[in-house]
Amino acid sequence: MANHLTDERLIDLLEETAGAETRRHAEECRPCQVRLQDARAGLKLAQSAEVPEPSPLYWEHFRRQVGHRLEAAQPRRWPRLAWGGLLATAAAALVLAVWMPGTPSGGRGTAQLPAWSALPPSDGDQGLAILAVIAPQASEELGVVADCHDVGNCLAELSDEESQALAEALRGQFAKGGTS
Amino acid sequence: MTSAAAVLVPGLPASSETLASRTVRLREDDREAVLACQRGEREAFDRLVERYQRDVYRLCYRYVNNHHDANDLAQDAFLKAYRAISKFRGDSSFSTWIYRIAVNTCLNFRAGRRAQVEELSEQLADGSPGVAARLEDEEQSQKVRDAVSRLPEKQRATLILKIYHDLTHEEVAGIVGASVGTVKANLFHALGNLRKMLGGGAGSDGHGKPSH
Repeated sequence: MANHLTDERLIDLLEETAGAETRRHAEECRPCQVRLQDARAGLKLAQSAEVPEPSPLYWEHFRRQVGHRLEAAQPRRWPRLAWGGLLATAAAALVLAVWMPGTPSGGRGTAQLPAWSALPPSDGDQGLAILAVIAPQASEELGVVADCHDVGNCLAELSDEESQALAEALRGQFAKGGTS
Repeated sequence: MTSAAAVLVPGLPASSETLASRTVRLREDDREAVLACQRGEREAFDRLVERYQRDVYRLCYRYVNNHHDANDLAQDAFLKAYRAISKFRGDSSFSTWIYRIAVNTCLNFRAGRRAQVEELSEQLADGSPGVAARLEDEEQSQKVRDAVSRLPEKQRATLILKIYHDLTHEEVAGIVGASVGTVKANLFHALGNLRKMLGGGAGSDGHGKPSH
């Protein structure tokens, strides 16, 4: 018999979606029957292979591992409110430190904060320079401003410990400004 | 046999709901979860991981034939999906998309470890009489999994997705980047090659080599 069934038609037969003409050919053609039989045997073998099922506890562990890896891969982000608040605190501390009654004015004594003209030239965000002035401890010891080019990004990258240290440094500056 | 479509959404009862309506509901849930992910809600991605972790893990296992690598690859696939989820436009279902990522992850992994995989196949093909006596069923499964892992790339991908994950020919075609006709031809050759390698059919010798 000429024009044997194509691989595609044999799969249709295997899946029982073949048309009447294809089915009729398969009933009458011995070579096509053999090929179909081989495919059926292959299917039976394939279906006999189960993947070993891990322990039910494994899936919880898997989810946690994925979660940890996602966490590690993500840049730390502060909630808008948190770092907005920190910026506001920093600005308030700066204003208080400079203008608080009793604070040595620029005309006498040693100022706690250098004049703006004394700030090192800043190539990037001026906010970083302000941060370095009002919280030198945080900027020098914690590396807050290291590798930063923008105060917003810089603050957004702070860890909890770093933000705590920065807050303490700001409070320290505030206290100095209030007592000196 | 597992089916992405047949996986129940955790928390939903396995009632008399039909497979078709469950599938529709699942896809709706996936779409909502994907949109939530795109809005930055990490918890939504956790739901997708929970829903598809078994299928992705099993797919990877079929490729690498061991738990350790399957675990790593399945995690890698989810990480890649998370990073790319902002680009997912919903042209295919999420399940098809994550399978495509998993298949590519496995192919890249195997490309880097081809020599090792082939060496392992030879060892497993030899078998061990002691193990065979104690774990006959598992040995048979292992042999079949090993034979599957020795199939040519496209035949293997087609067989795994079609037989073990119950995808349609169209879905498989979308994942492997071929026409439906080619997918059916690949499936037919994959089944024939399995039969040749393992025996169990007309004219079998059990020592055949896969043909491309």
